[in-house]
Amino acid sequence: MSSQGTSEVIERLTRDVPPVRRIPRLRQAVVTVTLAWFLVGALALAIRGVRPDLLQILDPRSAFMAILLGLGLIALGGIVAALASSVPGREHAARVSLALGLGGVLLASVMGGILVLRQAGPVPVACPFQNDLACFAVACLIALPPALGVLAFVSRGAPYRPLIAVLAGTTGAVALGAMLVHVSCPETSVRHVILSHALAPLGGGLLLTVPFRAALKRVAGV
Amino acid sequence: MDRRRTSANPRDADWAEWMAAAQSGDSVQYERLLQSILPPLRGFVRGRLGDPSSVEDVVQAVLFSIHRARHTYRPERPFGPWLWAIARNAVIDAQRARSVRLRREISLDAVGEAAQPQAPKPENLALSPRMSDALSQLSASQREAVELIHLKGLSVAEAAAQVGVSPGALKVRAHRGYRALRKLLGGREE
Repeated sequence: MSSQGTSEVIERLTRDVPPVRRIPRLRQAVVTVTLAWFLVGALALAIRGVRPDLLQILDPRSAFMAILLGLGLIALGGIVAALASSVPGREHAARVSLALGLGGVLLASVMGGILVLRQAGPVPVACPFQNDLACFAVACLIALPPALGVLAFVSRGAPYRPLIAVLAGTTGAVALGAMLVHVSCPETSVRHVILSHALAPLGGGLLLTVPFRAALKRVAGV
Repeated sequence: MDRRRTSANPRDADWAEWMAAAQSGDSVQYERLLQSILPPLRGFVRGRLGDPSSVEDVVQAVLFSIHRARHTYRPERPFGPWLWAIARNAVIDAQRARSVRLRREISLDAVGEAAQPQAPKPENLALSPRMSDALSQLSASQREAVELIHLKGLSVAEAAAQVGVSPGALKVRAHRGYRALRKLLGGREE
């Protein structure tokens, strides 16, 4: 195409420019998503309660804290990465957040896993498989409101890689859910803590990505 | 290169102001903005794109992307990083599309050279009987597009001018022609 064609394109684009509603600030979006999580989290904790030994295990060197901190990093990194990657020019923030989230995955799964194994007694604690599923399902359910908040922002933005944005957002949202599950679930089984708490964001994020990606395509056409 | 463009551009403040006005529906300021970013945008695209013939295509794609994403710009942030991110993504898309096209298209020049290695001029290229047969089965408009671009070596713009259609239309014809050729030749990429 010629530069004459480019002039025509400019003329066509600027002929009638309707006013547009600006996308909210990134900070504002993060606060909204966090508020959604607080509301649902408060409700979930009111129903489930916190684990009875919570005060005793709030030791910075404990497996509990390593997993909780890791989940927090996954949540923060994933959600900010999803939001930032939907705004052109915020790629640096998206990359840094993604790295933070990956650090959280390592902390929660590897470090948390090592500490859980080290702190576990010689006799493995039995835990029914239903409990694993229940904790995973609750984490995913709590994740829905913040994930919807992220999706609303992403659908208003201009994500270059929508799949990555959705995956990061849902993983972060499930990490928010897993944090609440982690402070409320009294199970001490190694398998349960690793699979249903520490690794829940990865499984849940992948699971929620499918419907959320489809919804994004339907709503925003991206 | 990007950093220099994004942080040291003296026009950034003007661009930000014009975009803010455009977001409010001011078409005059919007046109001013698009005209103003055009030269550096061309330079940016030209510098990154291996194929000079598609610079204007990509520039136009960037303009459309800017238009679609104009609500994502926040006036309190610098305009440059926003603009160059959109341009960079458009260039990446164009490069990807080009590499996919190159992988799929049948190189008629290569076939011609294989059939007659010493033929120096494109218009004298001798095609293999199989390729000639396949070409003859294309519709007249598709054959014309393929021949002008790949056998006579004309640019898309020159070929379009000769046929009397827009470059875009000619590209579509040529592309359909390549696709039909591939099908006729049994999916072989020669």
